[in-house]
Amino acid sequence: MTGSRGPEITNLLAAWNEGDLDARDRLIPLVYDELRRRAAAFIRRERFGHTLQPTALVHEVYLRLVDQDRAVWRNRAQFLAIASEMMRRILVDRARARKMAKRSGRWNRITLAEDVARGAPYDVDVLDLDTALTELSGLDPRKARVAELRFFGGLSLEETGEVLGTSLATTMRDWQAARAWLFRRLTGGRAVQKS
Amino acid sequence: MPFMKDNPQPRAATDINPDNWPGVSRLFSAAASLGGSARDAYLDDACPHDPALRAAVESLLRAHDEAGSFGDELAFSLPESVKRLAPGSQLGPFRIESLLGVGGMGEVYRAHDTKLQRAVAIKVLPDSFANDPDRRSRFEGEARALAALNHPHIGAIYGLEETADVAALVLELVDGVTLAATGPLAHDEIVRIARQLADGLEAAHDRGILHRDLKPANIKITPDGNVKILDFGLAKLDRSQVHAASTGSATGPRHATQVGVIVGTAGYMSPEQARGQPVDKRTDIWAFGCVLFSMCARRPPFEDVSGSDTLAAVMERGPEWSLLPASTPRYLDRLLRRCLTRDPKLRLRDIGEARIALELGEDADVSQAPARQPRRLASIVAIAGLLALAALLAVALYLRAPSAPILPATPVSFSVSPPAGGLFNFHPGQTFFALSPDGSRLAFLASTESVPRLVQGESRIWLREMADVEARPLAGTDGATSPFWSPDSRSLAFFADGRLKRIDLPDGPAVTICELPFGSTQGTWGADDVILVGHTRGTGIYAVPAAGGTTREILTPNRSKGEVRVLWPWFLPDGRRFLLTARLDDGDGKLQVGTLDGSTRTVMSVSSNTQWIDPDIVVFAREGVLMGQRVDLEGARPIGAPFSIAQQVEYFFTTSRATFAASRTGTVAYHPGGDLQQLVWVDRNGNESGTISKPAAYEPHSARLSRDGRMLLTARRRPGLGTFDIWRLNLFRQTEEEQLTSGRGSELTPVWIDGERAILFAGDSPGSVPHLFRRDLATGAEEQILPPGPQQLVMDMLPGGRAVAYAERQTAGEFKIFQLPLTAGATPAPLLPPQFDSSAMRVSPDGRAIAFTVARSGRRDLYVAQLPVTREPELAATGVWSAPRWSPDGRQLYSLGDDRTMMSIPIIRTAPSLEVGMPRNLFELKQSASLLEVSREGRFLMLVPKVRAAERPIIVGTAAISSTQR
Repeated sequence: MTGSRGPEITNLLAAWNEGDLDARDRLIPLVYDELRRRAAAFIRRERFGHTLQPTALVHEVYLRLVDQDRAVWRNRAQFLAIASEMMRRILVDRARARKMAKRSGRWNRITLAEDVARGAPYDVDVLDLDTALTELSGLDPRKARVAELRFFGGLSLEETGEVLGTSLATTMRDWQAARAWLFRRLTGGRAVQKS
Repeated sequence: MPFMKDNPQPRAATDINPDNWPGVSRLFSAAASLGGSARDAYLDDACPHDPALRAAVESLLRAHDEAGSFGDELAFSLPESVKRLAPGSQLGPFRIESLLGVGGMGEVYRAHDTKLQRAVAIKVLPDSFANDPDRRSRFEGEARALAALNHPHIGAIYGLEETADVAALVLELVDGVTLAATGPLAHDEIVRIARQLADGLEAAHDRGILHRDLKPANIKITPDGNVKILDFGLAKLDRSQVHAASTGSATGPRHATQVGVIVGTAGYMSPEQARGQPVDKRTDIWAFGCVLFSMCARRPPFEDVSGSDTLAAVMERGPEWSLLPASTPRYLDRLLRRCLTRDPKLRLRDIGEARIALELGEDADVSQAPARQPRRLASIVAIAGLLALAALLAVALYLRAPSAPILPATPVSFSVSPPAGGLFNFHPGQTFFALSPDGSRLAFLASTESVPRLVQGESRIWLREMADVEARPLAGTDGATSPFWSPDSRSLAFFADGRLKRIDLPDGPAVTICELPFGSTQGTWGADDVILVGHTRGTGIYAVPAAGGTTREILTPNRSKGEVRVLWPWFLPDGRRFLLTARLDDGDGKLQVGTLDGSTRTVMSVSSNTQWIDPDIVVFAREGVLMGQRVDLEGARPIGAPFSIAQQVEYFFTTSRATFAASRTGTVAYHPGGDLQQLVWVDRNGNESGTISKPAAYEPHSARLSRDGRMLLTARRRPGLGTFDIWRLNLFRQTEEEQLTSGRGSELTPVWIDGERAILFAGDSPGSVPHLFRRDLATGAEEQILPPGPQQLVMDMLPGGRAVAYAERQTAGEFKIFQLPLTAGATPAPLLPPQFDSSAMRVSPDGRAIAFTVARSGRRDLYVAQLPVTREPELAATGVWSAPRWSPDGRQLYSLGDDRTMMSIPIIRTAPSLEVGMPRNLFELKQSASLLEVSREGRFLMLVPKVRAAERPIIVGTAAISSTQR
């Protein structure tokens, strides 16, 4: 999303929040762009098989958004927060569907932070990440939510704080803790072994 | 390599669990920002005796250090998921020959059916089909239905082939090129292809099967010119796959069945499909329109530059009509417009109609131009395209049963809704739309704001061409009211900013015709380019040249004949005579024919506004029923009996004005009116805690609880009539509702008197304004309290119950509050100092104070004063919306603020001196509402909107009058 469109989205969200369905329709293309950009952030490094295209992924996200037309949209960050949830759901749904196909190969994998120095990216199953987030949620719902917003919605720390009503410092602390916990949990001690 | 060799810990010891997490995360956060030795020192200090805790924190810290950019950016990789089949391999009886292509669901191969010795196409399905028995069985069922679809213009589905690890659809192999790959097509060719497409779609729709992804790439033209639609219904199967996957989680959207991958292709997707709404066959009709458009224009109607731009175009703008070549025949143009209507309710309903239109070709135009047709019937107006055919059929059918006096408008009626997300500028007693004399255009007032505001939202004129499906706003018409048409249906006049203006269509600027020194809600434009306007108070009718000039009074009420007002001029086709309604001092009205030199002749008794249908029909309203009456203009007399045209037409009883429009050609438009509201209880936190009775139209200033809180007086609108009656509701037994008044007019603002054995209210009769009445509830006897005069509304009973406070309209339109002892011969006296105008007032429970609102410069302020009012009233709150209501203990005043907050104002004391506290907000309303009463328990009785009249559509139809009425 280009910066110049930010206020437009916010205004439309406000209008939508007021019950202006026309605003919703005008919003959708903007949201579509926004989500596509975020989807691209997930996938830009990889070659695509024919089964999933970034736009198809975003279509799904945005359909789910539109379907929640009874939700109360507080502002842009809230909106993105809902988008994050949907992105998570979409990725997990896809992973589940494919897992049922038994020949689940690499395609369930999220490549975590390809560290050039180390060479080998951490491959983590989408479903493992989902499970880990759910576990973290049992431990500390707010930190899990921070991670979800950051992972799946790409929200900035500021936006995350806005959604959760926490200060930037608290959001930062939550994010560090959540990230460390998830990394530890997902890499199964590999990170620890390096010490 | 051992795990932390210098400090080996059993894994359990580094576990992070709910018990230690608060401590771990706190220590982690504190230590994470520290480096090296500082961190160690901190941990030494923070958890000296708990190595397990420290180990857990350290493991997390190490993960933190290792994680690098983890989480800052994720990449999602998606390698191939579908097994490839090698040429020569065997799938059941099918021998794979070559890969034909890759589609949305998987690869498509050319194969040979070794059993039936024929070439087939094999579409390999995603793995998920093969591995989920549920999904597979559902898929098999759908595939069977599709396989039954045997039609020359539909690519056949032969069946489903499954092996241990592959599931595939076996399809008819269609040779040829897809429509996407064909070059420019001649008109005849386009029509031939489109007819076959419509034929195929019709066959599928007849079986309840939708395509859902019709596009040129899915349409093949065989070498011998036959059209085959491919992949029928497969999009749905793809969709159901996603459903199955997405329904497993509790966090999914509520309507999982409506959610899936978007099926369809952005440039060919219907707006409802793009929004993810449920689709039906009209979605295929849209796509058909897109395909037809692509063939005609050689470009798709929505360019697929980028997905989002295309979607925006689909949902916001509609097709790029300018792409259609000028040579496109009119009937094709019309068909395209009918198919590519964004609102599915207005779209072509049946693909069979498209097929018929294509088969008739230009012949279909014969029925399209009624304005140029000789009128054999009193009135026939084609609405648009195929609707016209329906109209003719309806009339033709009707003519076979001549005994019925009138064919109601319904058979060919349709509705016009406000623009998406907007509202009509609906006000009772004002017509907010106008039909052009030729019936081809409807102008209406609407805003694109959906939130009703105290200050009128931005409203402008929208133009709806009947042959079109979308209305467009007209620039330069902001704030317009009461639009009306020129005789040639090409210009519009309207009132705005105290001026009469005109705008020449399609795109002319708004030009001022004249300043208007008075208010007007009706104009009419005659054949000689003279415009007549009425005065809102009916004191005269004025003429002004349409080209501009000054107003000239041509007609005033004839007092000698008992006329008090002359209203609603409406030009007759000759441009010299006009219809008008003269209001008599007894409230009745007369339909008159006036001339520009000021003479009038009375035709018959009519109270409402009137319009004209050629050759001789006056349209008027009798209460809520729209009527027609043939008249002999020369003899100034009616011919035959009046007949009804439509029921339940919005009718504003106070002025007798009905909300309708008629064209000379017989098209009639009307609005049903009808704001409906619900009585609700709201607690102090703003939550609804119960409803009372059923939704109805209530008068928002008319509600009174009885002292014990059991009974409620309300004024409820009589459906289809527009008058209010007073009802008594038993709140403890809500089935018990009793209508207390049933006068010809409205009864409003009731208050209990005489120990709740009687009520005082304001009642009116046709053509008059409300005045004070008393009604004995036991005997039903009514007596008028004050002689007729200006409009009066009951405010409240004054202390002791022996005097009433009421508001009376003053000459400038403002209200003043008076007090009147309820004793014979008493005279009213002003209650408030002269500078305070008010029409909303309540007495405090202790009878020592009053609260009232004062409207000043667009704002309402709340004042409190001691009784009797000897000192200057005290300003208690500004920017209030509703009338004030006292808490039962008299310690609080409640009022709704303009910003929809419920305000509470402490009343510290009312005697010996008055002391008012600072207002504070209790809660914010989710929607606009009216505060009616406060219960003894402190609950708020409120009126919340259920249905707003301003969002209900205008009904447009044809007043088809049979030749038997000639």
